[in-house]
This record gives sequence, C-alpha cells and structure tokens, in this order.
Amino acid sequence: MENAIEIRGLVKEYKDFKLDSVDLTLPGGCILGLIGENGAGKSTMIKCLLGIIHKNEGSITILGRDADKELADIKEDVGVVLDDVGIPDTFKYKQINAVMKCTYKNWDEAEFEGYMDKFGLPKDKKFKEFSRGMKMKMGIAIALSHKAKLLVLDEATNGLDPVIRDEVTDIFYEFTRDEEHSILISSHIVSDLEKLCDYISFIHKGKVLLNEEKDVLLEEYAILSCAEEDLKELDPEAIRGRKSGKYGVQALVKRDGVPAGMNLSPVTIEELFIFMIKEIA
Amino acid sequence: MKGLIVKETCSIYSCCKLFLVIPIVFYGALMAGTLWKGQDIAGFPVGMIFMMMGTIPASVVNQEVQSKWHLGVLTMPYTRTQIVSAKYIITLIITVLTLVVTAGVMVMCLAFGRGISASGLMDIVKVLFGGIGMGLMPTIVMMPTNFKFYGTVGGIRVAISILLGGFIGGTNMMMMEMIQKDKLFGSGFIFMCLSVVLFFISWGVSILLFRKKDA
Repeated sequence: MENAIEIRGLVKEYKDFKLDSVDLTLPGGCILGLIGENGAGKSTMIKCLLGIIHKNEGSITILGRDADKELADIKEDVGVVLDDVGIPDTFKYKQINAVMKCTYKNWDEAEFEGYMDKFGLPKDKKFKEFSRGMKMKMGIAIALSHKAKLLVLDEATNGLDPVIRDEVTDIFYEFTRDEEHSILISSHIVSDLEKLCDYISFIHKGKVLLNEEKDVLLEEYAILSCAEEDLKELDPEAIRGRKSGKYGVQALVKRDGVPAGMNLSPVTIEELFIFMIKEIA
Repeated sequence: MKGLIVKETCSIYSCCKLFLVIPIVFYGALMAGTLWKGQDIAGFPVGMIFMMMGTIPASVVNQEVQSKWHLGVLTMPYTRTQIVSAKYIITLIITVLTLVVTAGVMVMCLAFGRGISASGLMDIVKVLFGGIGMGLMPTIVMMPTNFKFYGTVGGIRVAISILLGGFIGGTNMMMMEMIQKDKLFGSGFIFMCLSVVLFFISWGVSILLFRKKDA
C-alpha cells in the first residue's frame, strides 16, 4: 500500500528559525502523531505540506502524487483542521454548507448535517459566536464531510473538553478503520496521541529527532530507576535521557542496553518525549 | 472556483450590506435632481455609485484576514490563481450589475424628466463609460496591495488602501466632470478602455504577488 505522506529533505528557512532537512513518512492506513514543544516547527511543516507557505527545498508526495504539481487536486482528498479554522466570522451553517458544496466534489451534505447534530453545533449562530471548542468541532465536521482519504490535523483537539475529545478521538479511530484512510495529527496533548497513533514523530527546533512505530518505541525504551553509580556502569549509548531526584536517578534507556535484573518500568510516549527533549537541552 | 464565488457572494451579503445602501442614496439624489429640479444627469454621483460598489471586493479582504479565511482557503482544492481570480471575477459581476441597474435608473430619469432624446442617451452612455472605469479602479489599485500584504491585519495594507481610496475619490470628481463635457468616444471611452487594460494587468500582478506570498 502506498504511503499517504512522504516528505524528503524539507527545508524552510526564516530569519530566526529553520525547518532543517525534514524526512517524514506516513504509511497509508495509519495515524502519525507529530509531537513537539511550542515553536518546534510542527505547524511550519504542516503549512509547507499544504502549500500555505513555500518550502525552500525538498519534495513532498501526498497520496502518491507530487504536491508541487498537483496540490489543488490532491486537496480534494485531504481534510484539514488547523489551529485557526479559517471560516468567515459572519457565516452560519447554511452559508458554510453552500460554499463547501461548491468547493468539494464529494461534499456530503447529509454527513455534514449529521456531524453538526452529533457535535451539538447550532445552525442559526454565526461562526464568530461559537466558542473555541465549537469552532474546532466545526472544522472537524467539515474535514470529515467530503470523503477525504487523509486528515491533516494541527492542534485540532485543542479547546475541546475531555468528553468531546474522547468522542473525536473515537471518530478519528473509526476513520482509519478504512485502510485507505490516514491521519497526520499534531498536538500538545501527548496522551491523545499516545491513545490514537500508530507512528510517532518527535520534532525539536526544526529537526525530526525520531520517527518510529509507537509500539516499537514502547518496546525498545524503558524507564530505569537506580542510583547514580549504577547508571555510570551502563553503556552511555543506551541512555537517552536522565532525571536526578532525591531518591536516586531516573533514566530513559534502551532495554537491550541494560543488563537483566535492573529496575525497569514501561515508558509512556509523554515521558519518552520529555526525557529526550531535556537531554538535548 | 464556483465555491469561491459563492463565498464572495455570501461575504458581501453578510458584511457589506451598508455598501448596498449607498447606491440607493445616490440613485435617490439622481432622481431628485433630474425629476423634480429638472437638472441634467450628473456624472459625479454615478461615478461614486460605481466606485463604492467596486470597493466591495477589496473590503471583504479585511473580514477574511480577521477570520483567518486566508489560511483556510489554502487548505481547499483551489490554486492561488483561482483564489485571486475569484476577487476579480466578482468585481466584474458587481460592475456589470451596477451598470445594468444604473443604466435603468438613468433612462428612467431621462424618460420622466427631460424626455428621451438621442443627445440625452448619448450623455448617459458617456457617463456610464466613465462609471465602468471608476468601478474597476478600486480593484485595480487595491487588490495587488491586498495580495502583497494578505494576512496582515490593519497596518500598512489598510493605510495604503485609505490613501488610494482618497486618490480614487479625487479622480472621480475630476474625471466625471471632464467626461460629461467631452464627446461620446472621448475621455470617458478612453478612460474605460484604459481601466479595462489596467484591470487585467492588475489581475496578473496580483496572481504573481500571491503565488510568492507565504500566508
């Protein structure tokens, strides 16, 4: 099955920031979570992917097609929710539906109305009167109503209360049950990504530190709790991060670099991310 | 492309209603002058009607930037050329609609005022030539500025628009008076032809600017 997204050697340079030779692959039918602190380059990468900003170098393939040549056509099959949803403030449901109906060939009015009801979105209110959570829900409803094969979600679960976030997560999960459907999602809420994603990509200061299958990461890495002296005996290559405390030291380690019998506990994606970023810093 | 035109129409209806009131006031003034006071049809209000209506597409850009539509639209299946072109096409639609309605009102003023005559009709055509030029002028001047600074709230884009708006307003006063005194295919016709040429140049420039622009 073809990859949903292939990014090779992507460079975007600003005065004070550089997205530096990013390689990223989202296999078809999978969910890839993009994790990074504020200003790491997640949104810049997504904007480059969608042609909202121009890249300096590199190639981007979406759903097997060259984004440089066919971007507008590709977007028929891509549902996007950005941090700012980008719907005119004065529009109501009727106007949004009218515009989208003429924009997407596969726009499904009944599905859109279904999501409006499901998310409890009012049809008679202007978009500017919506709360942040409602605006995000509207963005998600639009993205899911035109038979997209790929969803690109930039902080799309921000502003949603935990119950709706859980509901939306289930919808995304349901979406990828069709093996042709894929999702690229960036979020600060790592727990959401941990629950949802098949692949995880860490991005830090414009560089991709890691791009790996989630289960492989969770299998490969562990948290070691021990004394400082015990840690010194380990192969430095096996240690990916450390945190000293009152009662000893906690370290992110590669399981295969640690001798049997040491106190290892499973790692979460959030811990993995924090340890790695702190080690670099 | 159709979706962009629908979006422009919805935006105009929802945030530029006041612009639609302005022509009614000027039509009223035109009728009052010609029907009750027996004056000749004045070029200035006609130019103002076309100019105000021509300002609408550029004004919608403010709303777009505030609501981040300029980002949202780039996630949709449109090319940058189509996004720019929608603005120019809507300007043409508005100008044609304004032309039809204004021509109707002017003929009515003539019919119920001095009476329909060949010279009266020629006066109307001359003024309408000038009106078309005035209607295209805001888009010619403001749209490249808007696309150069698309995504900027207030600041330089609005400042330049206000300055250019003043310039166009001044041009209207000067041009329409001159056009009325001239012959049928004189300054009004030349002004219209020049505006049409500039309109297409502006269209191309806006496309080039927006293709390079990072939103």
